[in-house]
Order: sequence, then C-alpha cells, then structure tokens
Amino acid sequence: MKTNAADVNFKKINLSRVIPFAGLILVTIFFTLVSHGNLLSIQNVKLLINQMFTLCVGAIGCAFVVAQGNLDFSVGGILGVSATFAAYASQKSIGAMVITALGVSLAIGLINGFIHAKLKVESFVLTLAMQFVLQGVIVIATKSGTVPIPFSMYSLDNLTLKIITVIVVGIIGYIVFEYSAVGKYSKAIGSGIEATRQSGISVNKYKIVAFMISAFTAGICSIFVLVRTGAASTATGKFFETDVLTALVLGGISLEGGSSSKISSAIIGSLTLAILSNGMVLWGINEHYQQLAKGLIFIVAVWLAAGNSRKKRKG
Amino acid sequence: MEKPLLEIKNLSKSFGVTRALQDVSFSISKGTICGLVGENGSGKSTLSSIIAGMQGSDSGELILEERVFTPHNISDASSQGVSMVVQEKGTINKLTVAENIFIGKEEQFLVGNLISKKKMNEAADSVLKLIGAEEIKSEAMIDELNFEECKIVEIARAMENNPRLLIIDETTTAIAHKGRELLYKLIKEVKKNGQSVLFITHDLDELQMVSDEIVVLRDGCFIGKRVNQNLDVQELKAMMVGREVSDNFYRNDYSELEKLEPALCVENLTLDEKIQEITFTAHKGEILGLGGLSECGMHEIGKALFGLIKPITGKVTVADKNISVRNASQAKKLAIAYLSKNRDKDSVLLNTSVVDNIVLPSISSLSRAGLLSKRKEKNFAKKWANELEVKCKDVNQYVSELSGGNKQKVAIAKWLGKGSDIFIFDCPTRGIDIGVKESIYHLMEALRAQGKSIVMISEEMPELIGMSDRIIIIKDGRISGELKRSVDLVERDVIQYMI
Repeated sequence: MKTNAADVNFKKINLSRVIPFAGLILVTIFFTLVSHGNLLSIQNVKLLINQMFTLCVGAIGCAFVVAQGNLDFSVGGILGVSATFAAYASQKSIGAMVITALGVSLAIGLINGFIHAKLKVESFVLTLAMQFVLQGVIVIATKSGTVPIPFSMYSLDNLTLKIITVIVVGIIGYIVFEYSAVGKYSKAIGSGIEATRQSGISVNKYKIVAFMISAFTAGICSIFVLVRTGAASTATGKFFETDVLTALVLGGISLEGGSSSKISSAIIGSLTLAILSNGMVLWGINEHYQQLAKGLIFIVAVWLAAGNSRKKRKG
Repeated sequence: MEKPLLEIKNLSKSFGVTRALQDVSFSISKGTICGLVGENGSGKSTLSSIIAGMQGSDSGELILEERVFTPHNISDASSQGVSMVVQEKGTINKLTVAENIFIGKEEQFLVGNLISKKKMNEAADSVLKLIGAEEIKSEAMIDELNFEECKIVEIARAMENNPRLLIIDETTTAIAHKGRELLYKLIKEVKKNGQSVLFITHDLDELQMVSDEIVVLRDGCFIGKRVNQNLDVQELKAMMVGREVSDNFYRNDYSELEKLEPALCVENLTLDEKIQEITFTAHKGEILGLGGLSECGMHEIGKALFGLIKPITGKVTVADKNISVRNASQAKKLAIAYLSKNRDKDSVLLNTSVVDNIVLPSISSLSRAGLLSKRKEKNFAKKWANELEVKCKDVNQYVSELSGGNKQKVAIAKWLGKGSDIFIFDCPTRGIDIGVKESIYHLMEALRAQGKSIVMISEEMPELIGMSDRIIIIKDGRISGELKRSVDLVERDVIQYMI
C-alpha cells in the first residue's frame, strides 16, 4: 500500500536525521570494541581530531555547493594548489602564507563558479576536470618534488588552534547556512532552480559564491595540512575531495540538494568517516584494503543518499 | 436506460490518515459521456487512477460489463478496454511519435526478430489520421513536439486501443483551441461507437458542452449525479464547493479609469523572429489582459516583462523610476512580480515549506545585518498566508502537499509580501478549483483598487472579458487588436483577433 504523502514526508525527515547519528554511534561502538577501547584513548582521540578537523572544515564549505544540487570534486586539488603556493609564500612570513592560501583558493573557487554558472558546464564534470587541471598545476609548481616550509612554522600545528578553528568555522558556517541569504538561496536553488530564479534571485551570483565558499574552506585546510606535514607535495590534498563528499553523504545530506540540507551533516559525517578510517587502522586492516573499503563506503553512502531522494520524488 | 458499462461499488481508498475516497458508488452507462467534477483534492484523480489500473483500492469493487474488474496495472486495464489520458505529460522523450503510440505493443510489427519501423510508422500515421491529427508525423521525435502535440499523441495512443472506456483527466487545461476541438470531436465519435468516456475537468462550460451526465465528488465522497440537460450550474457549483457560490465571480463594474498613469511601458519589444515589435503600456490601477492562442507568444512576452527573456531589441521600463528591466532580480527590485503559467516548476519550491516559499523574494529586505531569524520568517509567512487564506496545516508544511489552488496562493503571497506594484500573472487560475479561483479574482480587484498594475495573460476568454480593463490580443507574435472593457464584449469579439 502506498502511504500518504504527509507520512512519507514525516518518515523522510526523521529517518534522514536519525540514520547519520545512529551510524556514528554504531561505528564508534564497533571500533571501540574491536580496538579494545583504544579508539577512545587520549592519544587516539588527538589523532582523531587531527583527521576530522580538515574533513569537517572542508565539508562545511562544500555543503553550500551540495545544497544547490551541485558537486565539488575539486576541493582536493584546491587544497593541494593552495598549499603549494602557500609553501612558497611561507618563506616570507606566516601572514604571506595565510593570505596566499586563502587568496589562491578563492580565485579557483571563482573560476569554478564562473565556468559553471555563466558557461553552463555541469558541476560534476567541471570540477572533476578542474581536479585534474589542479593536480597538473601541483606537479609543475612543486617540480614533482616537495616545497618545504620554515621549521619555525611547525608550531602552528597546534591542537588547540585547530579546535578553535573548527568551532569558529562550524558556528559561522551554521549561521550563514541557516540565517543568511547565501544559505537560504543555496537551499532554494537546490529545491527548484527555476522557481528561485523567478523569485528574483540572482541564481548565478549565488552559485559562484557557493563555489567560492567551498574553495575557501579548502584553503583554510591547506594551511593546517601544510604546517602538519611540513611541506607541500604532489600527495597534498589527495583524495580530500572524495573524503569530503563521503563525509557529507554519511552525514545524511541529499546530493540533490534542497531545503532538507543541514550543515550538521558535515560535522556528523566527518566524525563518522574519521572514526571509520582510524578504526580500520586500529583494527589492523591492510592499508590497501582501507582505500578499497573507503571507496565502497562512498558508493553505499551515495546509494543511501539517492534512496532518500528517490523517496522524495515518489512522495 | 442502457446497461451500465462500468459500475463503481463502495470504492474506498486511504493514504495514511487521509481518506481520498469514501464509499463512492455510481455507474457509467454504455455510450455516454460522464463528466467528473470536484475541487482539487476531492478524489477525482484517485478515482480515475484506480479505474485505469494505476493503483488499487482499499475496499469496494469495479464491475466492467458484469464482470469484476481489478486491473493490476495500466497495460492490464488497457488490454481490458480501459485507457486513460493523464493530466501531466505522459509521453516518453527520445522516442518517436510512433514508438510512443505503440509502446508495449511493438510485437505486432515484428518481422522475424526485428521490429519493422516502417510498419509501425505506417500504423501510427493511420491512427493519427483517424483522429484528425495528420500534421503530426509518426517518425518525429517526441522532444520536437510541443506540449499540446504530445497530448494529442497520448490521445492517439489511447484511441489506438479502441477502448470501451476512455478516461480523460484534465487534459484540456493543457491544450489550446485546436487540440480541444479535436478532443471534443473524438469524444463524440467514441460515444457514437457505443463506447463511454469519463471526462474530468475544471471547466464547467466545457463540461456542459461535452458531457451527458455529471458526477460530483467532494472530499472523497460521492455528492450526486446530474443529467446535463436542464443542468443548474449554480447547484453544481454549490455541490462542488459545499456552499453557495456567487453567480458571477468576475468584476461587475464597468467604470473607466479616472486617470491614466503609466506603470510599465513596453516599447518595440522583439524577442525572436516571431515575437516582434510589441508596444503597450500598463497603467496604475488597471488590469490589462493579454490574450491569444497558447502559442501566440504572450507567455514569452510575460517572461520578458520580468527580465527572464532578454529582448533582441526594445525595452521594458518601469515608468515611476524610468529604469529598464535587465534581469529578474532587478525586476524584483523594481517592484515587479511574476507568476508563471507553469506553477509547480516555476512559481513554487515543492519540497520546501510554505515559510521558505513565502519568504524567498523578501529575504534580503527582511534581514538585519545580513541575518534573518526563524521567528521573524515564520511571522512574516503566517501574516501573508493568513492574508490569502492559504489552507495548510501550518506554515512548515511542504508546498507539495497543498492543492493546486493553495500552491498558487502561496506563489501570490510571496509577491504580496514583497510589496510589489506591478503584477505579471500568467494564467493565474489555470487548473484551479472554483473556490480559489473566486478568491484570486477578488484579490486582483483589491490590488487594482489599491492602484497596483496587473498584466493578466490568459487563454480563457471569460476570464479576459470578465476581469480586464483592456484586452490586448496577440496573434503569431504580434499585437493584432485591442479591446476596451464593455458590457457588450463577447467571446466572438476577442476570438476574431486571435485566429
């Protein structure tokens, strides 16, 4: 029997809110058990925060693009390119490094947004291609080697600073997403782009803004990745784009975008993915299998997310 | 009385707590055209979809020529002689016209193991010819056809089946004069062959013209059945709405505007090779009707007034500010509001709450320091939803769950909330039930009285004549005539400029 539209709606909201939480709790319990409690040891929690930090910051920015029903598969490349140029700038000063990282990332976001909004290139294809372009830029800019930063800047790899940053980004992200025009328009665009345009909203402008936000948070991440690893290289930012999208989807965001999008998806999802990846290491799973497992998790998460929107279409 | 073709016995259907059909019983005789009316949400579509095999019922039964009829799906129903033309688009893109007509029935064209396209096209051509639509080519891709032509292909598909019962669900709202004429002719032919038609429509004039008997549903219940001869339209309306409806819901004043103050000036607007040299002025306190056939270009002109289509030459200027419209977001700032003909896709966000829809155009003006609180949003939405009497559980309800009329009210509420001065309404009452229709007309009168300017684009003659201070008629992309409001104005006066 077909259920009432209102019921479907009711279930949809509740399930899509509850499943990510349940998933997080299950993953935590499971890996706590198989790691004999090591998962939640102080040492490991510090590691978890480090792993979760970049994911979470990146996912918060990327959520704006996803809310519009688009994808950003280039954040890994953006992180890498920003880190590379920032590493060169770091020879001058910390300020120069930070400004370079953020400036470069914003510029790439602007290019992404412009090509998508004005030249009407589909976001998935565009950002995937952009990812290749950016990886090429990294290879050229690092001359296939590494670009180190001054030893003095290692002190920036500081857990307290990261916690403060993730909280600040989280709060600002939440406020912008829920209470400002940028967030509201982004969800509206995902719900119905034509109706949004016909409500007198400059859809193109806000598409560009979303790609810039997504790139900007990748730029923030590039600074912290750089000071943690001490150098930019061709490996910097690798797989960051899939990790960010996996985190969002595990957090329950619908890849169709729209009004059900929540910034909390970024936070819950990045926690879940960080625990999953970390837990697999503690469990002693071979590194090669971890990559495979992450890929499978991504597929399952996308399938679940698509399931949500399948129901949405029926309801 | 003839033997019934289809008997509907105690049919009930619930969706969760909503009882879409409650114990509905009536019968359709052989060789009759049975009209089915009721407001949105009255259960018409649920009933017809059960008969057509799209879904099952919870209880009750259908008896088709003395045999229990429980179709499992659409093709099961059609193989037993019940075909339906649906309200929305039912054709499949990327297939040809012939492939659409014979979908699921391709085996008859097998030559060896392959389907003969030639045979199929020939058969399709003959079906199209039979129904009088030979200008549609069987080998054409569906994508190349407009909505009306797609509907005709669907009708051809239904007719090819030689149905005992043909169900037509509000198809005519989507199609213009030519298609309607064709459909009416077909309906009469079906009847002549001793077959029956279940005809669902919002248009009471059409219903009176076409049907033999009329069944009224309200809130999922069978209210009554009337014979079309000596039909009391007022009674019918009252049966549908559940209360008395005023005789004439159009304006009844015929006073001229005291002074003509321009609001929106359209100068030499040329949009493409067809729509050219459009010049007119909409005044304050005026309802300016823009009429014509569906494909005449008036809908595109409406979009251009709101900056959604960029003109090749010419301009649209807001008189007070002497600024020309460049795009939609600027048009909004110039206090222009636009309501699309395509409500579900263009006017409302379906899977989004009533609040988010009503607030959307006003977000930036309501925000303080770039931020807008949920409470302020909610109060704003409540105020305008109440103002327009939107029927919803609360403002957090999804718009997709509202009836067509209430969706339209939400779309209008967002522009009233924005405080617009110039309203471009494209088919504002299309597919909307009488109750809401009446309130939209009253609202237009109230806006007019406040000195707002309304450009009403419409394919409905009575609406154009009944509401407009002035009617501009568009034919093949050009202005073909202009008529002033008058008691003596009749449909014929308008139609002569249209075709």
